[in-house]
Amino acid sequence: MRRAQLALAAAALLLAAPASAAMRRFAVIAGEPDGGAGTVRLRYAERDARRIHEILTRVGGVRPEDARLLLSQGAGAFRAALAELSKAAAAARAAGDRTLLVVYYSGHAKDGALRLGAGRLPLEELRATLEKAPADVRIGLLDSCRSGAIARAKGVRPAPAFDVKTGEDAGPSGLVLIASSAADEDSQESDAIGASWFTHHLASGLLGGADASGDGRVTLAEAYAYAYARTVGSTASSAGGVQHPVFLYDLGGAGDVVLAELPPAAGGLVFPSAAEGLYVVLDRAGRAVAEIAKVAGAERRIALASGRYTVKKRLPDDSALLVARIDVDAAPVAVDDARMDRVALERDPQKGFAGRRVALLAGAGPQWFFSRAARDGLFPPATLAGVELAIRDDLGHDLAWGVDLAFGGGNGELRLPGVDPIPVRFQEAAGGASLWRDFRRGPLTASLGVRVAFTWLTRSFAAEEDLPNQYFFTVAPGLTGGASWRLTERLSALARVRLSYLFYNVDENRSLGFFEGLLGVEYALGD
Amino acid sequence: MRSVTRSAVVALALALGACGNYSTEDLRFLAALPVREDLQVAVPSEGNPGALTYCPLGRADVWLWAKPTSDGLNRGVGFVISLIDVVRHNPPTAREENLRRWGPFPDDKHPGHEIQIVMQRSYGSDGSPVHAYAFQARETGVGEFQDIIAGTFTGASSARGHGNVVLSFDTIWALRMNDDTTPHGTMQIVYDRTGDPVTIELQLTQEGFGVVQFGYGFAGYANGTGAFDYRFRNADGDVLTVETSYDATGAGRAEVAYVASGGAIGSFRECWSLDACLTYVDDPSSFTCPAHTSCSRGFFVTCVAVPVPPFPPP
Repeated sequence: MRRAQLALAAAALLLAAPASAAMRRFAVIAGEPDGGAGTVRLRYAERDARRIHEILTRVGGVRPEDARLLLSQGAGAFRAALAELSKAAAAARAAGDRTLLVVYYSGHAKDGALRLGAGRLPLEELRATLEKAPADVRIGLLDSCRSGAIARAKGVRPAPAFDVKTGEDAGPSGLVLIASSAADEDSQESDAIGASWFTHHLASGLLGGADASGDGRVTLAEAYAYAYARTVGSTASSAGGVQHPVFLYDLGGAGDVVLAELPPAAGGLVFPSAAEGLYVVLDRAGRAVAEIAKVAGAERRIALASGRYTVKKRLPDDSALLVARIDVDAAPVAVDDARMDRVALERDPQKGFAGRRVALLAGAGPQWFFSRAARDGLFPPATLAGVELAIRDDLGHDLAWGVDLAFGGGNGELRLPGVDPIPVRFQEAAGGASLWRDFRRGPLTASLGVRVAFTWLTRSFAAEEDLPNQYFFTVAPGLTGGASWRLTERLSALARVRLSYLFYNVDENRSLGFFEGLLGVEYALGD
Repeated sequence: MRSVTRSAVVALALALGACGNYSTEDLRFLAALPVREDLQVAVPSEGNPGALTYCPLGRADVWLWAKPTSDGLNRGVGFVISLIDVVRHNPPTAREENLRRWGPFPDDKHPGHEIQIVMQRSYGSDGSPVHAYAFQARETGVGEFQDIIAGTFTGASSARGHGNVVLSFDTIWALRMNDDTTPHGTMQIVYDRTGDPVTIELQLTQEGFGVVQFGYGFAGYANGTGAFDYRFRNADGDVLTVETSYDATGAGRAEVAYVASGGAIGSFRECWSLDACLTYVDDPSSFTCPAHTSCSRGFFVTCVAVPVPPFPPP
C-alpha cells in the first residue's frame, strides 16, 4: 500500500496542475448533526464542517466570499448555496477562469439520501447536480454513513488511492466523489479527537500530513490516500467496525488537483526528514487539530494558523510521550524530538472531546407575578436583565446545565386601605442554576428543564422617607423552557420562559407563582 | 392534622430559606405612628425684620416670640419622635395579626436598661383602624416595663387621622434615664389631621425645652394661614400669654395678657404687617411703652384679615 501511495505521490508531483493561482475555487461546506427521525444527533458534524471550511479558506485557495458554511441549515439552504455557487462558477468560467467546486458534507445519510434535519437530499440528485455543475472540476466529499452509495452506479470501490489520468489537455476537468465509508458501512465519530475519523484524517492530510511528495502541495490523490489509510487504521479496532473510504474518479485532462498549498514561508510546523512516528498537534484546549503519520526520509510541513500548540508523540515502546509546546506565528517552526519533553503516559496533554459546549447568554425581559394582590405593591411587575453560562452536552447527550445572574426592577404603587398610594421602587437580584434538555431540529433548539434560583427582592419608598426599605430572600424553584434560532456559526437568537414558585412567609404564608420572559442572544464559546 | 400541616409549612419555609422584613402589614402599623411633620408647630418665620427695617410704630416683639417658642415645642416633639423612630429602623421582633412588638433590646444610650415598643391594632365602629402604642422601658430584667410614651391614633395614616401622645418625663427620671436637660412632668400632644385646619395641642405640665408650662395650641390651614396660642417669659421676667392669628404672609393680630414681673396684670391688642412692624396697638395700660403716656397708636383698619380673629373690631 505504501508503495502505491509513493507512486501516486510521484505522479502527482509531476502532474499536479498549478494550484489556486490558476483556478478559481468555490466551496459549499455543510455540517448537519440532525438526521431526522430514527437518527442519533451527531456530536461533531458541525465542527467537521467548520474545520474543513477553515482549511479550504486558509490554505485551500478558496476565497472567503466564495465559500458557504452551512451549519444545521437544512436541505433547502444546501441546494440554494450549491445553486448560487454554481452560478458564480459559471460566471467565472465565462470570464476565462478555470474553476473548481468543492462540496463537503458531514452528517447523516440513510436510504440513499443525505439527511439534513427534516430534509432529504437524494445522493442521486447530488451526484447529478455535481455532474452538471458548470465548473471544470467538481469534488464531492461526503462524511456520512453509507455515503459510498453515491458512487455505486459507477462501480465505486474502496481503495487506498486512485490513479491520476494523464492527458494532453490544459488541466484536469471532471468529477471526483469521495465518501467516508462504503455503501454498507457506518462512518464513525470519536470523542477522543472530537471529529469523525475520516474528516479528521482528511483535515490532517490537507494541512500537510498528506504531502507525500514534500512539494508543499496536497493534491486530491494525496489527500485521499492519506485519509484512506489513516481512517482504516484508526477504525480497524473500533467497536463500529473498520471503515473504508471510497471514491469515484471521473477526471479528465492533465494533472491532479491541488487541494491545499503550503507556502514555505508560512506559519506552521516542520517535521524534519529524520522524524518518524505518529505526531498529534493539539490546540490550546488540548484538542487534536492534526495528526501526522510521519515516515523517515522526507520533510513534512503542517500549515497552522497562528497560535500556541502542543505537539505530542507516543514513543514506539509505549513507555512515555514526547511533548513540546510551540508558538506558531508567521514562520515555520521545526519539531525536534530531541527538544521535546519526555512525560509519563498519564500526563497526556490531549484532553479529548467530551462533547461539552459552552455558551454565554444575555438578554432582558419582564417578570410578572400571577397574583394581582401580589403585583399591587408587594412584587410589582419588573424588567430583568441577565447573563447565563450554559454548558451543553456535559451531563449527557443533549443534557445541559447553566448558571445565571439577573438584575432588574420596576416601579409600582403600594395601596393600603385609607392611605394614599405609595410609590414603590422594586429591585431584584437573582442567581440560579438550571438543568435542561435540548431538542434540536435544524437551526432551532428547544429546551425544557428545571431551575432553582436564589432571589433577593427589595423595595423602597423614596416619596415616604419614614418608611424603611424592605427585603426578602428566598429560594425559588421552577421550570424553564426556551427556544433558540441559530443566526450565525456562533450567534443565536434566544427566547426563554421561566415559571417559578415563591414561598412568601412574612405577613402570612403564601404560595406565589411568577413568570419571567427573556429575549436575548446566545454566543457559543469555542467549538 | 392541623399541626401536621403547620409543621409542613414551617419545614418548607426552612427548606426554602425564605426570610426578610418584606411586610406590607408592618407598613400599615408604621403608617399610624406620627412623623415629625405631623406634629410640627409651623408658624411663619418670614416676619422677622432685618436690622435695617424701620418700623414707624415699633416692632411686633410679641409676634417675634412665636417662632422661638414653636422651635422649643418642636424640640419636644422631636424628642418624642426620636424615641418612636426606633421602630422604623428595626424589623419587628414579633408579629401577630393585630400586634407588633419590637424588643425588648438593650438601650444603647442608657446602659443597664432595656426598651420595647408595642403596637396593638383594633377597629372602631366605623371600621377605622385604631392603633395604641407604647414605648416602654425598665432596668434590665427588673420589674415591669413602664410607659415612657403612650399614644393612640385613629385612622389609617398619621397624615390623615387624629391621635394623642403622652410623654412622661417623670418616668424617665424614675428609671434614671434622664440627663441634665430632661424636664419634669409630662408632655401631652393631641393632634387632629382629619380636616382643615390641622390642629396640634401641646400641654406641658412643667417648663422644658426652653418654653414655659402652658397648654399650647396651633391650627394650620392649608392656605398658609393659622392661629397659635403660646406663652413666653420675656427678658424682664414678664410672662405673656398670647392668642394670635395670622395670614399666609405672616401679618396678623394678637390678644396678649401679661403678668408683669412686678405682679401687675393686664392685656393689650396689636396688629402687625408681614415684616413684623406694628400697624395698630391698643394698649390702654401702656405695658408696651412705659415711657410714653399712651401706647395706643395706629389704626385698626390696617389689621389684616385672619382666620381666627383674637379680638373683635373696636
